[in-house]
Amino acid sequence: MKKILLIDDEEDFCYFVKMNLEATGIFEVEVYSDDIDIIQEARRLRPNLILLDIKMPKRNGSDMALELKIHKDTQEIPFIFLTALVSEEEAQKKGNFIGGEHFMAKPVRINVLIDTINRFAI
Amino acid sequence: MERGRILVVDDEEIIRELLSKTLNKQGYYSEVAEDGNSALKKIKESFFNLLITDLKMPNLDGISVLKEIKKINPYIEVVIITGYPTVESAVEAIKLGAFDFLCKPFDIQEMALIVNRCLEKQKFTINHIELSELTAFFEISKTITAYTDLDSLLGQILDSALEIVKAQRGSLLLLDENSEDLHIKAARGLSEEIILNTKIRVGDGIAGKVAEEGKPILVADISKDPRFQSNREMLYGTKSFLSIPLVSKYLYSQGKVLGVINVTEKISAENFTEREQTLLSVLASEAAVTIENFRLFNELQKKINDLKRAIEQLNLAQTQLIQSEKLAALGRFATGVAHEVKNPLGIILGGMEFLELKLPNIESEIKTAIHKIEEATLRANTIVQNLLKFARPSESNAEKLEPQDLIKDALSLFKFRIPLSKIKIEADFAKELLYIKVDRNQMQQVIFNILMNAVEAMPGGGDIKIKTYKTIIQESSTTKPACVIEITDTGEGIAEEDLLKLFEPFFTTKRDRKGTGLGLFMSKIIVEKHKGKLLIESEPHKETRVKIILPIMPGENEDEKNSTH
Repeated sequence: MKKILLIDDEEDFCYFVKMNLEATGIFEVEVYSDDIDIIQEARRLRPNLILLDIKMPKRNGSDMALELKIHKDTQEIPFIFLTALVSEEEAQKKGNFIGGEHFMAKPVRINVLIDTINRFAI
Repeated sequence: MERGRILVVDDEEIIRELLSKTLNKQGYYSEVAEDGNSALKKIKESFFNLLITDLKMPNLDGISVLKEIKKINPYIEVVIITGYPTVESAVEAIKLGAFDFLCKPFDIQEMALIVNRCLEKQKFTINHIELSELTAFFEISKTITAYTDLDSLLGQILDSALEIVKAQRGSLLLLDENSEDLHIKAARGLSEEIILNTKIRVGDGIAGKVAEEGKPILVADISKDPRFQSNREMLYGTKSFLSIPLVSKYLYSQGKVLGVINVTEKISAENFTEREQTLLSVLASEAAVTIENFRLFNELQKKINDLKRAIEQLNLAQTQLIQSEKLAALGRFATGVAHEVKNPLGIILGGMEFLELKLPNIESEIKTAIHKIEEATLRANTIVQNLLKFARPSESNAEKLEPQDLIKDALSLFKFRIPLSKIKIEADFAKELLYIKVDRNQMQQVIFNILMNAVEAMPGGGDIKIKTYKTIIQESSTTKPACVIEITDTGEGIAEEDLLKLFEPFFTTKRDRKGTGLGLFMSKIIVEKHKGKLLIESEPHKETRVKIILPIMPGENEDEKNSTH
């Protein structure tokens, strides 16, 4: 069972991603729609992968990503940005990397998401 | 003061001497000549008011003298005396302009009366001629002011001058402000070589002296004047020469000499008179004002044009600024919209997928419903994606390329995506090398959009013609070469009322075929971002022609051409 941590301010989006991923039977998803202490949660949960929204009202996903990268306990955990700020085409053109990080454009089809998680999760 | 100058011609010495003495007594100045030839010689040499001539003389008779004399001095009056009067000779003499016809022997008192009457009439005629000259003068001044280019204005001034003094050769020279030389600007009766090569330094020769002193010079006989001795002006056919300065009347440059008018070779071969010098001086002062006015007007016109151009450029820059600000604002707006819409779309799609997952064995009706919702969601997402795609001017990545590269790429992409069994595509590329600087991806998108519209306008099949060619476009006050990519289809065409709305966002005639209404809107924005134009012409049920007009980049070949020149 792979543990996934999802942080996105859209609660309903989180709900369906959790439902769809868990319906496969191979994922266990924990979601947060508020500003959280990402390092603390990551340490506690030890997720196989983190899904991060970029544009959130309180704190940017990219800031959280930076913290994760800096901290020695969390820097090994892979993460994927899920964002509505780019189009799918742009995401593909850039090889799905922004600043060396993988990202996906919302809305995302669940099978594509599952494939991507399987590719990157530890 | 003498009452008039009279020449008496008769081969009988007694008659001419008697007449001459009588006239002298009455206060006239008179000279005598024994025949027609010597009479003509005298008349050429000096001015006479009246000629009294015998009709029958050896060598040249009275009628022949009469014919010649009017060519030399049109003002001269003639009285004929004859011992052998015939009606024919009298009629001919009067026809040729003789004032009276007397038979010998004549009463000397009668002759005195006739002379008196004749000279009175002459005064009146001369006054009348002067008046009509001045009227002509006035007309000339009027025409001068109507000229718009300097060369024809100067030509007209010279023609007027020649007309006033009845001369056939002349030139108008203007002072070159930099070199301080006089250059011929208008000429009549001079060779091209002289016109082009003549440069007279101020102070040199007659014209140079006139320019230096600002005063006219009248030369009676060129051959006797030392100023002509070493001069090419010797080439002139006649002896008399008149040179008049063109003097500025303007406050800032009052008295400054602008140039010189030279005239020579009177039609009558006579010398120029003081009176003609005065007349020409009046014309010259009028001409000087006109020339200066013309120069000022031109300067002013040039400044106005410069100003106009500056304003046009400013307007253009402002329009472009507004355009780019608009685009930037649109970009920010689009990004905002995209973000806000994509999130709920993500939820809808996730929800639908969840339903599918949770209900694996649902009825086909519900399954269809779910699919339709999913499809609509994805369509909405496409619209938003398009908005996002074009909202980012910074991503423009311009490269220099040939339009056909673009078209070939777009076509291969197009053929790959769309089945084209009923569509014939023809391409006709410009023979000459054309280069445009564009973002390859964006411009391909434009061509792709237009091709897509063309295909969708021809559900039953048809032809698509793609052409590239060079054209000239008008931009504010200048013209520029441009490249046209023209795509014509033989589809249903566009209704006139729709033509205006084509470029509005979300306007589509293909709602049922999933058109987003953004294709042409975005295409126009892209083309305009490249400083180009997107034009659409349509004839319903016949054809639709879309033109992408883009600025041309100088090509490698042209660079070479320019560098070798």
